[in-house]
Amino acid sequence: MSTAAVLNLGNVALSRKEDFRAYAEAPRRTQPEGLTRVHLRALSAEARAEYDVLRRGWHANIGPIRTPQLAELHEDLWDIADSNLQDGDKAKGAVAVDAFPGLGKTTSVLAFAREFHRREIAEKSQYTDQGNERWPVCRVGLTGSTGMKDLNRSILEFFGHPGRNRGTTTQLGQWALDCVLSCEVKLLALDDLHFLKWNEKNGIEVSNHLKWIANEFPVTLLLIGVGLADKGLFSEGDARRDAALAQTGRRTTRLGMRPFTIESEEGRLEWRAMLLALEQRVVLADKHPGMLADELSDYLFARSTGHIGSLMTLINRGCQRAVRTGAERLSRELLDGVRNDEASEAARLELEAALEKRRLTSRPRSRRHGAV
Amino acid sequence: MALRLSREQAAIDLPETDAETTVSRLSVRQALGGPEASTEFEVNVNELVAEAGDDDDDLDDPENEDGFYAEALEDA
Repeated sequence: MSTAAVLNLGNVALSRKEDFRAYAEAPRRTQPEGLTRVHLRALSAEARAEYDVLRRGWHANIGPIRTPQLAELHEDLWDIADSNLQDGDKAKGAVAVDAFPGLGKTTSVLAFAREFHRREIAEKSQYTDQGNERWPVCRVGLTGSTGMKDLNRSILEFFGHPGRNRGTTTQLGQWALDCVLSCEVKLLALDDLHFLKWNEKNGIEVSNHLKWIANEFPVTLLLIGVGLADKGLFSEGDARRDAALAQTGRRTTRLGMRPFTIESEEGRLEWRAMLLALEQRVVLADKHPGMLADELSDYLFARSTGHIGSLMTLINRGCQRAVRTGAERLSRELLDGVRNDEASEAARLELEAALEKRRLTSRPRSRRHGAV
Repeated sequence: MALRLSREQAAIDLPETDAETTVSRLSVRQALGGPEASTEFEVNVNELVAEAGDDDDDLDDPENEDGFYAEALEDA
């Protein structure tokens, strides 16, 4: 892990290259063995404590799961990244993942970045022909009110560049370019792009800076954020004043992510497949087939409004409580006592009432009887 | 008479709460498929429960679990 912590711009561990490699190259966690209550009682105090530690870590890190939303996004990202093999004199297409919070943007992009890193290292080795370390992915997480200089600095922070604490915006930008070229970065991911200072004046400045990166850096620029379209990132620019925005808009492919919905049978089947996946991964003594997918389907949909981030949070917290209290299963009664994110809690009553009034359910009509 | 009628009226037309009648939040509208969500997809909950039948007993057999989870999503 990295030890340098001079700056706090990328307050996410993955904003440093060694941390990112540790994430990208780490083996998958092994799911703890499911034990019955009899087996649990047979464990010594030490063994039980060790088992519960394993379960806490496991439940806090379930996933990422290959949802249809994630699969669609990855297909698009592979298309764009693999097609960006133009020589350095040609501008490469950028991509922006622009969607509401809680839909798994960062998780999905990180999963893609991990696979991209692994593939590039496997195909081209860990070192470039010039003997430098190869870093196929540079991932930067922005913090609040990041300016252009801060953005350049945070790229240098990823590489642990010794000059990251001094220099002008232009100098930092040039050093960042040096790092990207030396390490043959192919994917530059800027997460939480909406944190950039993006007012009337800076909107043009931000757009121009991104255009400079897209032009000069031989990378696929991957922008992740909320409300990027509202900030004018994709504006076509119908006046001379915002013509600068138009160029970014023309070169950037916008990808969204959708929540789970239940108005169609297809949507309900997707939701059920998601709950089955979670159910398989829950390690509780009294877990049983259908615990989530059948018994709690509507409840979990109402509590999460179909947002995967809220669902994963609720399941994680519920499992921690089930282990801690000895309940060893997820039930409505247990989950009622678990707080979820504020947006989900606020929408919960409204959605529950709407589901009841419209006589809607999240459970698919074509649920197979034989398998249940 | 008027008093009695007004009491009956009040008993019949209970006001509905906001929670029961409005879908104001964007996340809820999206979850329901938007404001134009068609009744075509409405499913009677009771009907589904009836469809499910009494097959839950089969779940006690661990060998059936693989089949039960056959449609589960995989890791990314």
